[in-house]
Parts: sequence; structure tokens; C-alpha cells
Amino acid sequence: MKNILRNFGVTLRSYRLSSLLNVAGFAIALAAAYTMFVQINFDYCYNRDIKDADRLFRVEHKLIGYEDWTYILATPLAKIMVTDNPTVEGYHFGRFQNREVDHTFEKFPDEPIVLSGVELTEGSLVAMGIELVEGDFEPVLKRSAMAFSRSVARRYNLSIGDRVCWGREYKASGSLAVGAIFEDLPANSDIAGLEAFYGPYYNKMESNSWSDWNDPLYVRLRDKNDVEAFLQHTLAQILLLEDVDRFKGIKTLDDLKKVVRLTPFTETYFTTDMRHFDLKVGDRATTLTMLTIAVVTLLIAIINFFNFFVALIPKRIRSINTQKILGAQSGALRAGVFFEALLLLTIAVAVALLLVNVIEKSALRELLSVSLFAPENMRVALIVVASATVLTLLAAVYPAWYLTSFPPAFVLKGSFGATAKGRALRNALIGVQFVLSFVFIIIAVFVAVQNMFMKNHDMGFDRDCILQYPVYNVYPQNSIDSEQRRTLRNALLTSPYIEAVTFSEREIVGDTKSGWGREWSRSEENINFRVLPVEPGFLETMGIAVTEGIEANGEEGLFVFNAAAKKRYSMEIGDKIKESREWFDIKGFCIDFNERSMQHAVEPFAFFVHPGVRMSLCYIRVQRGSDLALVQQQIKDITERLGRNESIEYEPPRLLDEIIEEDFYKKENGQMLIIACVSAISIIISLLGVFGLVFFETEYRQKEIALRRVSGALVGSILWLFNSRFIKVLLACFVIAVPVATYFVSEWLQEFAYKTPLHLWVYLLAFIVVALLTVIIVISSAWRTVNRNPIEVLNKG
Amino acid sequence: MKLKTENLEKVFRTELVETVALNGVSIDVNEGEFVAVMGPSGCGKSTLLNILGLLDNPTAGSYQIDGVEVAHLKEKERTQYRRGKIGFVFQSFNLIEEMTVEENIALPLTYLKYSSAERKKLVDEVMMSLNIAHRAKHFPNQLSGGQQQRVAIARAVVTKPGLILADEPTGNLDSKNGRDVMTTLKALNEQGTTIVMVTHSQKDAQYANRVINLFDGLVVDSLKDRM
Repeated sequence: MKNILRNFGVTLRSYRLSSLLNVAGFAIALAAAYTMFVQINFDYCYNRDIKDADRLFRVEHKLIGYEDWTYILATPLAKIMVTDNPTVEGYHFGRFQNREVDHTFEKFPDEPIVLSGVELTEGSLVAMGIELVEGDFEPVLKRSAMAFSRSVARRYNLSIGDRVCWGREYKASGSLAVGAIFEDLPANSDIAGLEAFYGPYYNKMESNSWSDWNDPLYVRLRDKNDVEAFLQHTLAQILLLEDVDRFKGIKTLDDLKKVVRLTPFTETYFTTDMRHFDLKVGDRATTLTMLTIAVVTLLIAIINFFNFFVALIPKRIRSINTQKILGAQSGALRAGVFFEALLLLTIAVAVALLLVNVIEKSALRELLSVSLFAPENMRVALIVVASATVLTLLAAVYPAWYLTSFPPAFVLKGSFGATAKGRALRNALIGVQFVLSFVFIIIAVFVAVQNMFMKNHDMGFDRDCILQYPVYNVYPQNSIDSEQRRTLRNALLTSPYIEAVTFSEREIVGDTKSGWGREWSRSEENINFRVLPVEPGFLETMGIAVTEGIEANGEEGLFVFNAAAKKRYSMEIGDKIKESREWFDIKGFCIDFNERSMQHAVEPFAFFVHPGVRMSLCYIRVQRGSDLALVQQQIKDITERLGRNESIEYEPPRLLDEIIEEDFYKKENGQMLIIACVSAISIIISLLGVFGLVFFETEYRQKEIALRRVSGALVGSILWLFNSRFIKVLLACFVIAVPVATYFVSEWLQEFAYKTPLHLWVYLLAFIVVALLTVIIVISSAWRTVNRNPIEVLNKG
Repeated sequence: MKLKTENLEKVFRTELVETVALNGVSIDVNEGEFVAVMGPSGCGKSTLLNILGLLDNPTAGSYQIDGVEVAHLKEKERTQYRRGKIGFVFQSFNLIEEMTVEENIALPLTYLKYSSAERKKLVDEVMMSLNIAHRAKHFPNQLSGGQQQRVAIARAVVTKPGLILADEPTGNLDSKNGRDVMTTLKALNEQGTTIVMVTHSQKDAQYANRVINLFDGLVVDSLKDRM
């Protein structure tokens, strides 16, 4: 062992550069792979740590005529599904989103504590697999006590029987006992972070109103295979509901399956064909991409590791075989090579740990759903290190065998150079790295180009000079009537920079708009369209061009449809749409503007222009070129003058451009950053490999180089000799990489309704970047040897 | 250490060509003898030396060391047999460039599992005797050719082997350093170490008790007591 350690020390000392490059490349790759695996683990394990998660399902519903599913159910529907359903062991009807609640304990009456709490029923406890640690849930369910998580109990030293009340002030009269302590909920789940439970304030299931749409339904089935039976029960109940229009067409189980489905709770994270409101969602394609990238990054690094080891062979073979002559056993020498590889890996792991620490503290952390140092990542760390160990040992097999496979006398007698086969193998491996680098660069540039394309695309309204401002900054009601709007508008128009003010019920851009299925005058069937109720003058203020008819009509309501709706339904001015038992005219058509991100094609859309609808958002058109900060300050001052709503934190007006950039393309920006980072890593590692190989090759060939120079070769021609070899490899790799990258880019672009063309310049750019970097690296690594005095080299023998 | 070969043959085969390096070589080297092996390039001198040093096996024939047949030992057995008993001196020194002088000299001792204290003692002794102690911490590329060869000799003798095999030990040295090396080898021989030396130099051969001349893989004469 001493010998091996000493040899390792000697190797590190003697081949400082190669060891440094090797460790650097490996450490970067390990850190990158670990970071990605942490996110992959989070995505794939989401909701899986809940007790018996495979029997827990979320019920999802689709209204006839709609494309998207929803998990918000009408209460009567939820009720018929679970009532007397023998397949249901327990259910939870309600949301889990964190509700921050003030609590004050008798023990700390002056220190109100904010905990995230939720109301639960007995069925909820069963459904979500909540485990009792101490006490009893019964008084909690009767709302005569509260339950707290184990970590809260530990943090505040709570015991069963302690007194606590809601609010920021302790009042003995309104206090309840701590009735139960429950096990902490899985951190990587929809129910993570819930710290307090209370009994239900009222029975949500009592409502019989089909317009009562507020909550999701989670059911725990007695058996995970009971889904069909659950739906059969639901169908039987639905068939009894003759008076409910929405279920009229449902006669069979197949009919029902078109509008009701049960998604395993372990899969909800990756469900994409529905609106998710406030739950965390992932993207399976992104996770798979990350998995591929993580594996490829490790592969690139291990190729480098192998190349460095093989490149060192001619340099080390003499010393290894001298040791053999002096009595070292081949087996021990081979073990030494393996051990060296493992020690290099150990150093790389240590450096990677430092890099992970840097990532944790950098902006990249924002892209991750979980801390890199979270305890649950220990398993990921072990898997990454174990995989790296196996790959390292595999990479060391060939050099270890090859170094000791020669009769020592043969090696010592002559000068041992790199064999042609060895060089071909190294070229092939470098080639794999170059192919991957090209692929990553091409993808990264196309992602960036597509992002720019989407961001700069004319969306059909003036997003660069319109501010969005929520009315709850002034009015606690969250939505305001025409009188309140007039007051706010007049106040805002006192600013000389504000040109116009208008209002809408919801955001102009985004997914929160309502989807309506409405009767219209030219057909017995409903038509479906997305709709945004606005006040008269909205389109003009937003800069949305009306192509036909008008958009404002005083005090009456009217519809303005987009061109897509006009085309799909062959609409005409004067057609009527029924809304709330009243018929309203279609009075105008506007252009197809983009009210959602560019992934989505324009669909039938309508502005319901009605002065009587309550509005929650204010849109402020400012003069182009105004000092935005100044305008925002003026709006804040006006808000203060009008009387700011003190119950909430002031939300400054945001430019639509900024909203679109931050809210629409957050995922794309994240993807772009990840792919850009991985591309940079792959190129760095590949170029480290090239640098090492050229450096060693010029060392081995220094006699040849000296002879060439004595024979009249210029430095440039010798440098070209080395460059030409890599240029040939690069060209071959580029030819392989182009179709591979094109395939992945085309697949990725399928997500977008508006996509950038496959520009030729992107491919050329990728080639030029990699070729240029390679040439620079080759020249810098060969420079010293090539410029050495040839006579000195030849005299040295 | 006493060596005896009978009808040693060594044939190198490749896909295209078969090269006979040794074609029935029979020699005896007595304990304490200093033998020089001479002959033109390609006559099989180095091949013979490799077989004598157990770095290679003959294709056929017998090779005995102190009466023990060693011609067909496996690599592992050859290594074990060689360890500490045979020292090597090469034309190109074959010092390990990454190790200091004292580390190079100590290397054979580490394979014999000497303690570090014992190693230090033996290395110091041999460095003193070869007048290279002042270079102990230097690396080979910081030494002259003569000094490097003295280090190589020190490494060869540090285990006090019974046999030293030298392959053109002065081939890379100037005449003065060459003379010093030969004087050192002669002194070792006089202390009882058997030496077999391959050389092209008649001058160096004069230090030997006997010269074996090889030609085309055959011993053509064996002349005793040249000095």
C-alpha cells in the first residue's frame, strides 16, 4: 500500500498538468451530474413517499367540448363519487396549498407563531396516510383541539394538553388544547410543509349546488386496481342525475372515461393536459432531458479520464517496467493503477463537493426544486459516487492491463511510442466528446434563438408601454364596479405620463382566463371559446386592432371575437351569444393576438365588453419613452392618496413585457440556462482532453518535431500537422452531430406553435466555435515543444 | 552466483517473419566471474542477457542458476526469483525520472519489504561508497550521464545481489565517466559479485575475466583471462 501511495504521489507530482486537468474535468462533470440527478430524483420521487401512495388518486374531470382537464370538481359530483362507494377507503375534498395561520401558545403568549395549517376530515387522515405520533385525532376532528407536526412539537417543546389559540394574541377563552401530534409529512410532495391540522369548519359536502366549484378530490382506494369499480359506481350515480345537463351524453363507462379519470397521486406531478393552479408540476420531457444530459456528462468525463490514462502510457511504461525488473509483480502494478484512478476520483469528488457548494449559493439554485444538501439527497450522492467509481475502474482496466503487458526488456531497450491503434482509439473517444459538444451547442443555440424569437414576436398588443396593476392595491374587495373604476381612472390620469387607463376581469396574458361554452344564434350546439370580460375601450387602450365593427357601445354588453373564432365558426357581425340567460350581439372582430405564450396557437377568443362586470385588473398605458420608475412612483403616490389597502402588501405595477418575460418563459429560460451550462461543461471537458492529448503527443514526438525543424519545417507547418488531425476528427464529428442535433431540436420545437426556422448559421456557428477553440488549445499545448531548440532535443537523445 | 546454459534457443515470431536470436547457446559463468559478451549488432547479446536476467524465457534449452533449472519459470516465479538476487545496469540507465536519486536506489528494497530505517541505512551506505550521497535529493535529469549511471549501479547493488547484468553500461558515457563506471563494476566483482556485461567496447571488455563472442545467435569463442 505504501508503494502504491508513493507511486500515486510521484504520479501527481510528475504529471501535474494532466492530473490537474483530469481532476478538474471529472470534478466539473460530477458536480453537474449530481446537481441534475438531485432534480431528477425530486421529480421522479414526487408524492411517492406518502404512505401507500399507489392507492391514492386525484379525480380529474373534463367538461364536454373542452380540451383541458381540471381537478377542481363541482361539489355534488364529488359527493356522488364517494358516498357509499365501497372502493373508497378514505377521501380528502379540499386543497392542500399552504395556508399561513397565526397561532399563539399559552407557553409563549408574546410570540405568535405562523404555521401552515389546513382543515382535515377523518377521511383526509386516511386518504393522505397521516400517522399519529401522540394523542388522539378525535378531538381535533371535532374542532376542540389542534394537531401539530412532530417537528413543530419538537421545535416549540409542545405536549398534549398545551393550550393554543388562533390569532396573534393569546386568549384563554378562545384557546384549544394540543390534541395530537402527527408524523412530519413527506417533504417531496403536495402535502409537504403542512404543520398544523384543524377539524373542518363546516361540511363541504353539504352543498348541492352544481356551480359550487372550488376543491379537488383525492381518494384512497382499498385496492389500487379498484379504479374501474370506482368509475362504475360513479356511472351508476350519474345515470340517476337526469336533470343535470352536463352528464346527458354519458351512458356507458367508456363515455364516463372521456370526462372523468383517476390519476395516481404519484403521477400528478407530470400531468400536463390540465391547468394546475397552485400545485407544483414538473415536465417529464425536461426531466428525461436532464437525465440524458447527466449521463452524457458523466460519459464525457469518463472518456477524458480514460484518455488521460492512456495518453500517459508511453510516458509511464518505462518506469512501470523498470519496477517490474526490480521485482514488482504485475498484479501489484495493475492494482496500483486502479488505486491511482480511485484516488484521483476521490480528489475529484472532494473538488466536486466544493463546486456543488458554489452551485447551491449561485443563481443556478433557483432552477432546482430542492437544496443540493438536503438529507434526502444522500441516496443520490451515493448513486453518483458509486456510478463514478464503477466507470473509473472500467476506464482504468485497459491502461492497467496494457502498461504491464509487455516483456519489460522490450520496453526498456527501445523507445516506446504511442501505438497507432492506441492513437486511433483515443481519436475515436475524443470524437465522441466532440459529437456531444456539437449536439449540445447546436441545441443550446436553437433554444436561445427560439426564446428570442418568442420574446420578440409581435403579440398583437402594445406590451412595451402598458402596466398591469391589481385593483386590490386600493380596494380590499379584489374586484371593482364602474364607479370605483372611474375614481381610480381619474386619479391615475392626473399623471402627465399616463395616456389611458382601462380594466379587465383577469389578466390579458396567461392561462387564467375562463373557457366558455355558450349558445349562439346560428346553431343549436354550444360553441367554445376563451373569454376575457373587459370594459369598453379596452382594445383601443391595449393597441389591439379591431378589423371589423366596433368594440365599445356605451352601457350595453357586446362581444368582440378574434379572427380565429370568426374563421372557425363562420361568424358575422350581428350574430348573438347567450350569456347569463341574455343574448348579446357580436359587434366586432379583432386581430389574432397572442394572449398565451408562443407554445400555444391562437384559438377562438372573445372580449366580453360590458361596463357592468366587476373588474380586478387595471391596465395603464404610459407614454413611450417615459421614465418607468418615475411613473411607478407616481402610481404609488396616487394609490396612497386614494387610500392604500393596508391588509395586503403593495404590489407595484408591472410592464407587460416584464410579465411575459418572467411568467411565460421561466421554464424556457431555465432550460436554456441548463443546456447552456451543460454545453459549456461538455466543451470544457472535451477541450481539456484535447489539451492533454496534444501536450503528451508533442512530448512523445519531440524528436520527430526536432528532425522536421532541422530539415527546414516552419513552426507553423508543424502546428498545422497537429491541427490538421483534429480538424479531420472535428469534420467527421460534425457530420455525425448535425442530424442528431437536428432531430432533438425538431422534437423540442414541436412544443411551440410558433417556431424558429432551422437556421444554417447555427450549425456553422457551432462548428466555428468548437474548431476555433480546438485550434487555440492545440496551438497553446504544442507551442512550447514545437519552439524548443531542435539541436538541444537531438543532442539529448 | 553460478550460471549455466545449454543449447539455449530464442526465436521471435511475428505473422510474417521468424527471427532466431539465439541458436543453441551453451555457456558457464562461475561464481565471482566477470564475463563480457561481445558481438556485432543483432547477434543476440541483449537477448542472452535478458534470459540470464530472467526477464525473458528461452524458446528451448536449459538455464540453471546455482544448479536450479529456471528456463521455463512463469513470469511471477521469475520475478520472485530475480528479486534482490540479480542487479541490472542499462546503457540508458533507466532511472525513474519522477523519483529522486535515493528513491530510485531504494526501489528494489521496497519490493523486498525492508523497513524504511533499513532502506535508509543501505541506501546511504551505497551512496557513500559510490560517491553520490550529495545528490540524494536530486532527480535524474539534474545529474550528468556518469552520475546517472552511478545511481543505476547503486540501485543494482543495494540489495547485494549475487549477479549483476550490465547491458552496455558505458554506451552513453564519455571516456572518463565510462572508465569510472568500469572501475566500479570491477571493484564490485572483486568483492565477489558475478558480473555479465554486454559490450561493444574492447576497452571495457578488458575489465572482464573472460569474453564470450556471439555471432548469429551462436557462441563462436570464449576467451579467458583477458586482463
